[in-house]
Amino acid sequence: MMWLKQLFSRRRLYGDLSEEIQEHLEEKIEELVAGGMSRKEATYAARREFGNVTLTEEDSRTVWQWPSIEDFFMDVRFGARMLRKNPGFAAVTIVTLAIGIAANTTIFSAVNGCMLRRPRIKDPARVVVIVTADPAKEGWGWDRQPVSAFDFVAWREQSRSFEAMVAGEQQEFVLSGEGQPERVLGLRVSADYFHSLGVEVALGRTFLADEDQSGRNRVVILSDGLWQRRFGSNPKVMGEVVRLNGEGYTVIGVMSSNYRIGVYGGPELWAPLVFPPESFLPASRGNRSLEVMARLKSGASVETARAEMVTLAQRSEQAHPGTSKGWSASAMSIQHYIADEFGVGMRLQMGVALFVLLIACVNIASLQLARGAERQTEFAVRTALGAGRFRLVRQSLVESLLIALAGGGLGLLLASWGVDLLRRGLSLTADVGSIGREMTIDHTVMIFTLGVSVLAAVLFGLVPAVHQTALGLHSTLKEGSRAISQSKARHRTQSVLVTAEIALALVLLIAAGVFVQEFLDRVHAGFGIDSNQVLTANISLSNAGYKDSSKQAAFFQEAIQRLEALPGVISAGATSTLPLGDYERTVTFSIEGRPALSRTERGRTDYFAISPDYLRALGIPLIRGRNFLSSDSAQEPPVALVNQAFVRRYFPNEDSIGKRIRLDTSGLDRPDWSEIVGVVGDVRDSFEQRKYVPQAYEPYTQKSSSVMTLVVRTGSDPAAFAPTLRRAVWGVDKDQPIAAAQTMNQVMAQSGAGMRVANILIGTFAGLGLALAAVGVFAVMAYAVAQRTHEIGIRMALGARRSDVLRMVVKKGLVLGAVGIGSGLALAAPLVWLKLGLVNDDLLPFDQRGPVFLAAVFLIWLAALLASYVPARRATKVDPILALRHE
Amino acid sequence: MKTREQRDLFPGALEMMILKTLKRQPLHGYALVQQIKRTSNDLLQIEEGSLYPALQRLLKEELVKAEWGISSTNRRVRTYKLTAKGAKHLENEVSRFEKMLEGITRVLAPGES
Repeated sequence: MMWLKQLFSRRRLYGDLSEEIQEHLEEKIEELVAGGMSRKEATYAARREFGNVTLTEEDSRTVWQWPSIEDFFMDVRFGARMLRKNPGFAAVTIVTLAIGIAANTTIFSAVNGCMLRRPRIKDPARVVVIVTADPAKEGWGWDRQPVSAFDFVAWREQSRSFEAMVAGEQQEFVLSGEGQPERVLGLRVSADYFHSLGVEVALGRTFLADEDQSGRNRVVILSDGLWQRRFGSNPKVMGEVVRLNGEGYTVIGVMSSNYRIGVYGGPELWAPLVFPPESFLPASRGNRSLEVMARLKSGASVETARAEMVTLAQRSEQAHPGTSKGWSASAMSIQHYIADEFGVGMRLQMGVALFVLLIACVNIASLQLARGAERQTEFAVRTALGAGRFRLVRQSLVESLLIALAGGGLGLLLASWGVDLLRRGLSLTADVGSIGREMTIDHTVMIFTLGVSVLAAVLFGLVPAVHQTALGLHSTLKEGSRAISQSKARHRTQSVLVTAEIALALVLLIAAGVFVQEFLDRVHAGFGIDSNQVLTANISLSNAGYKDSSKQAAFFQEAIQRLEALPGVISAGATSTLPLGDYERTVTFSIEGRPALSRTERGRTDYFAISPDYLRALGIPLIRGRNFLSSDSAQEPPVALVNQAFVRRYFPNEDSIGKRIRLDTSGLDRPDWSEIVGVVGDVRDSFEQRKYVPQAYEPYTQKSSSVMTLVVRTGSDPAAFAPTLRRAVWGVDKDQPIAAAQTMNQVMAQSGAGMRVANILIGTFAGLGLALAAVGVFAVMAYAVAQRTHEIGIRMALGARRSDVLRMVVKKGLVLGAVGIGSGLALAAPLVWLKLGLVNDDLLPFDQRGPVFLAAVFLIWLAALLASYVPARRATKVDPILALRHE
Repeated sequence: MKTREQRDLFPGALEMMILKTLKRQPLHGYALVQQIKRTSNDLLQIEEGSLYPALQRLLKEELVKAEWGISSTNRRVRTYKLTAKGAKHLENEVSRFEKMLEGITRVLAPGES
């Protein structure tokens, strides 16, 4: 315990040392005086022979210390003192950094929630996702699709890389019985699904090997959430029969609450997956709906599995040529798959947030440089007293670290607020709402924040640290503070920093501007419909009683008739797909009289099965020909409507009315052709989509659908009409569940919500970036003016007018601005373009970007002007007498 | 200002000389310097201050111990004394040094190669 004793007795040790050295000098002096020197001479001589007293003392003390740690704590104490002494500097730097860090932490919490969580299955690293892939397309998730049942069965048999291959298919179920009928999302899975993934149920059992046989498949596993919500966590539900789509299913298990694989809200129940016989026809290889996972055999890797999948896909293509043309297969780790689902959007936001942080760092670096000028004397004195360069750099970095940690702490606070905001924004949409739910500030996020803070400290601390300590000792001490302040190198560095900052901010602004432009373009483009005073309600006929297509049509016919009869209803219709809704349906088609093509080579069009009054209810204009009539029944010749985009693309130089087309709405080619009887207006599919795409309509009486959305145009507030609508539908069938009725305006708002949140985020970041950059320019200019007070005084004494001084200072700011804008533009154009192209390939043409670039440049220029004008005004207030009296 | 290399012939040399000097008699700092200078016939240029860090190192290693007392010139001084451990250490160091010196001498000896 020697070291402990030393630690506590150190103060005495140090005292002894000083006294001893003092006595040493005294003794020497006395001896010299005794030898005949004057006392003064003797003192000098003694000191000369002894050497540097302070250094000797310090060296002697060092013997007793753990130098690095103790110096570090000393640096920390000293740094904290320096910050306390400059509260303004400390506040500005800490807040600046906090903003940059908060931006990154907020986005990272989303990344962490969505992309980095491990799936709760056994050994997820050995599980791969198998997809149908298009090798011709770039990555980022655009290039892949689920797997068809046909391919799944073939690949499961033929592959050698896997212990097991399992599939899941999402399906909506209507859960009826006690209480209101309810639609729940279910997943039909292979019998060995849970066994292969190594997932245990909390209660009961998983599926048995033969439960994927038709007839034995009426068993269900409930999610913990559904069990709690619908069954009050009653364990007696086990073995009970529940009604799903009108059929009885026996409850065999309850899933453990923490089970999760993907990102989106998981299914609420699981039932065995049984393939209908038609899915084994080669023609159905195009129906890709299975999410396939496989567990690697020992010895197999993701790479070998991928190679094998490519071979298997080739074999399938050779066996059934043309059935899945252009598509291959691939395998990827589950983590990789999940990350890709969010990939581009999140990476873009991460990048933008990083820009904000970079600007913040540059800002702080330049502030530190400015302050470094004031501290130059301090550093010179310390050098003179024997401090090494490394020691000074370290001191400087420790101070940066203190700022960084304080900024990180504050940033974390700001981020928790940002996460709240973002979560609220995301909750608007169902499909990204689950991202919001996963966003929290957990320990991973905190470690990230700490890491970013430390990294930032190095970023903004190193340049000033090196700069401050690189000084000529002599000149600094000799010339006093003013001479140094004009050190060219420092000014150059500062100018470079400010220029960089302006360039970064410009890139941000342009990126945000481009986003906002795209958004506004979509808002202003119109949707092709009149969405005001329209109520919609999605109805899914999944009860067993509606298997027959004539029954489906009859249900909707009666519902529409009842609605039309209600007072306050202007028109009522139904459509199989609601434009701007959650999804669109695309089918391939052929035109009569043109060369026959295989399915993959045929043209594609959006597809809607509608009732005649749907067009009127949604305000879609009939351009030519006629609308569907109630006489277009299943017994009459098939008819179709197409939109103008369809005509433009496929009948550019001929009259489309009277032509016949065949829409591939089922797995098999139909024998009958539908005659085009009319052309209707274009309707946008989704908010994001800018271009109009071909659309085709068929009457629901001829092409029935079990899922349709009722569309009702009302004379008054559509939202208030919802209960009436429900009653009307239940009048037809009291067991029919109805999803939340929404006004068309709400549907449109949801469709644009994702893009709006992205816009708000990027806009906020750009605004922060601009503000930080303006502060940076301001600080540098203000500092420069303060340093040049003397010079300005002389100029004014020699007759310079205030306007000359103003111009001189502002000019410097604008020169910096111009250089920054130049480099920012060079950086922005390709960067912004590249990133956006990855997010969406339906963008405004590049030549329409001009205004955005101009506006961004103008904003930055204005910010630079303002930021240098204020200090310039101050410069003109310099009183020559006072300035010169400084001497 | 002299550089460290001039002060210290090689690492540990100063410590060795201090230990050797203290072996003859306990001394305080100033006397120690004078003694070493005198013994070396002023051939070794020792900066007086450099003695103290070396003494602290020896104290820490417990090769010497120190006590405050009154000197012959009636001055409050801190007298350093060799410990048993110090004596042993000195022996080791000296024999090591002699070996090294012998080696160097042989290499430097003229005409025998």
